[in-house]
Amino acid sequence: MVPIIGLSDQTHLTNFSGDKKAWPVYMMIGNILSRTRSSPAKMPILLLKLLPVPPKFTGETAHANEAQRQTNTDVLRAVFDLALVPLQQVAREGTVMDCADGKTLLCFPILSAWIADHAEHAALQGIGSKSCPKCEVPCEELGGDPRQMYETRDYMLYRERALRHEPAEAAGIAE
Amino acid sequence: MAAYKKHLLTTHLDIVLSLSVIADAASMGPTFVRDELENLTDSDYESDCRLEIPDFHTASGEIDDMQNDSDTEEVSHPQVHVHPSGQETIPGAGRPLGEVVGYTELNMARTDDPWSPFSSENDFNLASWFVQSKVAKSQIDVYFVEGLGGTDSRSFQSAYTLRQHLNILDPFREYLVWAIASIDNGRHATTFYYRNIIDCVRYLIRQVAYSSDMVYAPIREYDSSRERLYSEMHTVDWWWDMQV
Repeated sequence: MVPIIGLSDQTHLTNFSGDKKAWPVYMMIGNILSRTRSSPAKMPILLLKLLPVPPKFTGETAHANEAQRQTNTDVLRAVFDLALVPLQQVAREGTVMDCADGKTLLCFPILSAWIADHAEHAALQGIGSKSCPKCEVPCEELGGDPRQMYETRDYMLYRERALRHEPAEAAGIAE
Repeated sequence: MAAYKKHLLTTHLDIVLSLSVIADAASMGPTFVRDELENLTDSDYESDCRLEIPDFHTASGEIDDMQNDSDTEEVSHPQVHVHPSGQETIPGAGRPLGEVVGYTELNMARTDDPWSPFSSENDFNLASWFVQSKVAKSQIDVYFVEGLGGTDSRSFQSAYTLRQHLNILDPFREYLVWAIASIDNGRHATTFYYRNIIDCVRYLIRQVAYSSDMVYAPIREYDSSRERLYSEMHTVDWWWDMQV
């Protein structure tokens, strides 16, 4: 099994020419022991994609802002669908890969972890910045009784709902 | 630059092997190697100009590891301070299916001509200095135009050919091609770049530089009183549960 660990963060580049930002997404694999995986000098992390940074809200009307926010969410989801779609089949059925020790192995690459700060989790998963990205605790009860257990968020449910809106076409994605 | 650093990790290993200084490597001991590794981890991209020497130690440590752990399922890594006294793994996990085509040839070529594609050690060291001291392309060109290198003949004569040489060092570059897609939301179009995630995995998993630090199967580690030890990602239950 090949656990894929993703990382992403939005980075501010400059205040000039209209607040430029970069939004890189990186990946590494959990098969490499952490002493090597955490060493930047050994280049175990690959740049996977540069997400499109959405334009700033115009602020003209509340309705325009809301529409823009919806487009941004759709675009983000469509971009991730595009990039992660090769994983869908391979994660279930596996694929033969050449490995470092000179052997070929049947590998199952699975997206296992995502390293990001809270603002990034909230942006990627389309949730409000006050909610927990892992479970469905209401925001008033954050920091409450630790023995209280909540349902883990089911993103597939959101995803299916979103797919019915066909975000790829709505966002005008073309390869 | 990534290709260059990986080359240091892989080819240095072979150089060390071919010069048979394994005795020295063994006398250094694994604790010393670990210190070097921690130093490396702390350093960031920019200030890391002392790669050469730590890499040598790292490489020699890796040889040590490779001789001990030919079987990945028996991996015992130095970060576990309490040495695990018992291990179990899923039988058949990480079982090899066959040999990688061209793997031995590639390694043979590396051992036979460790400086390839550079013509000599001197040549390699010059390139190494250019890369590590981050000499600007234009200044590399000036170096050759002004003839600062004296009468020595070099296998590269410009920043461009140096770049070509560095590209040769990374034979799996084709995995890392960028795909371009564009979004058009009616008002303006944005292009963005992405890589095929499967190819990225293929690229990482076949890097010989990592071969001594790779695990392919989950293990459960126990200490002498049968307490579970958790350290690396492959020692926890998640991997065990996911393994097919």
